[in-house]
Amino acid sequence: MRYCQLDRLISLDPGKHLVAERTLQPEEDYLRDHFPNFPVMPGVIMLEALHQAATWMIRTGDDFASPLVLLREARAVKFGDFLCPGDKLEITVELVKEEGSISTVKAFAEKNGKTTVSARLLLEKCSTDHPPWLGTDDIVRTQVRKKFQELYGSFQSSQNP
Amino acid sequence: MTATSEEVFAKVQTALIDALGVDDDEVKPGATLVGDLGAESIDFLDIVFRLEKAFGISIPREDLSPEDILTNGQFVKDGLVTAEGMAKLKSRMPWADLSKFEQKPRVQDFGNLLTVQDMCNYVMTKVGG
Amino acid sequence: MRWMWVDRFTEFVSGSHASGLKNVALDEEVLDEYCPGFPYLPPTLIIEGMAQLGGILVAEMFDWDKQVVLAKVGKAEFFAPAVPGDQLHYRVEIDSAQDNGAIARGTSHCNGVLQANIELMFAFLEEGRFADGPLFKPGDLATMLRLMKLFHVAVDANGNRINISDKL
Repeated sequence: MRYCQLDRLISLDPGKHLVAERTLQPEEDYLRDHFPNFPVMPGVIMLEALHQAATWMIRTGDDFASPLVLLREARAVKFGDFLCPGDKLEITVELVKEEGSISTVKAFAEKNGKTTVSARLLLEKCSTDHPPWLGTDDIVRTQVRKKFQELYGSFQSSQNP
Repeated sequence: MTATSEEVFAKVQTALIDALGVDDDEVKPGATLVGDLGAESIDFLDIVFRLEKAFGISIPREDLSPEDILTNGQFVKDGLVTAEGMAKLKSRMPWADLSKFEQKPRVQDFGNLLTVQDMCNYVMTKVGG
Repeated sequence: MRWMWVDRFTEFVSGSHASGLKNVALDEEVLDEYCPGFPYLPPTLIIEGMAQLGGILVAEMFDWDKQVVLAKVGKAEFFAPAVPGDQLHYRVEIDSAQDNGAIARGTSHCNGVLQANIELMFAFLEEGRFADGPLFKPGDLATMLRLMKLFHVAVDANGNRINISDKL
């Protein structure tokens, strides 16, 4: 997954809470355009880190039962600071509520304790729209689960006290 | 346009909820924008845009940010606003409750002064019925 | 990977609005294994495409004197994923601008159907506060804008072609 925005997980309470880390590497290609004189992580990539953290948190919560977890809404997204090459981001996402198939997630990321991005995300668990006879939903479920294992290994879930 | 103070409060509340991502029960009249609601400088711009749109008014920057007064050596001495400076602030911002600030007028505290009620009062000066 | 999330400007009226296209392709790096078995364009890159259209609109409105960055996304709604073969039609309008920032609204349509709806707020960086000097080296931004065919379509409020500023 070349657009992966989470280097490693720090803690995971499936379906409820996830903390992850991401370091901006100086050789990331798009930095030459953003910006030539001031290379910094684009705000939307920081937002994408929050988004990916939220989707993994939700997916692990129902053991990858939903083929898709789609972003329906991002609200109150605020960019607080720039992330420069070598800087490390700590990403935290937390389930606020679940109404039917829609999860509301509070998300933020910090650099040295200072918030660089915060947002409220609404994500929906759903199926692909492919004709059922193709069996795409099952294929996606299996492959996404496998992708999680590849990226983050078998991760011990932390239990909230 | 004219508006009642209830209408103004409702729209100011909505603007603050949308700009700051806070809940409606946090937006009480006495809440300070910076201290209680967590507004940062980028949020003030957002709030101004939302209020301008909601009320069809224009909000010049100096109305809410009297930086020119707070950085003027004539009105500030040793980090404290002088009596002359306070008079200037009061005439620039007659809608704001400066009484608490006046007791200890430290320039560094000014940013945390504005309350939700102050914002409503300000809007009322522009649209008051 | 280049950081250009609009393939082409199709319309640009100074101080008002801009439209552009984004083609979603199966071989795009960002789709690779993003959702294995169901490739789709990360929605945050749709936000970026509109931010680029809006940011350029705002920068041009201030005659390229401001360093424009995306500061907030008030609300971004996505109604359907954008999948390979889709062509997204973006349209961004400036809502309001002041000397330290601007807000814009954008929509994305695919096959005539609303695919996304986004509210953006831009801030203008104060000189020297974050970066020493401009964000782009001389000529960089002009090159990017030429690739996106901005100057092919850009007009002022009276319909006159906009020249390529020396400041770019």
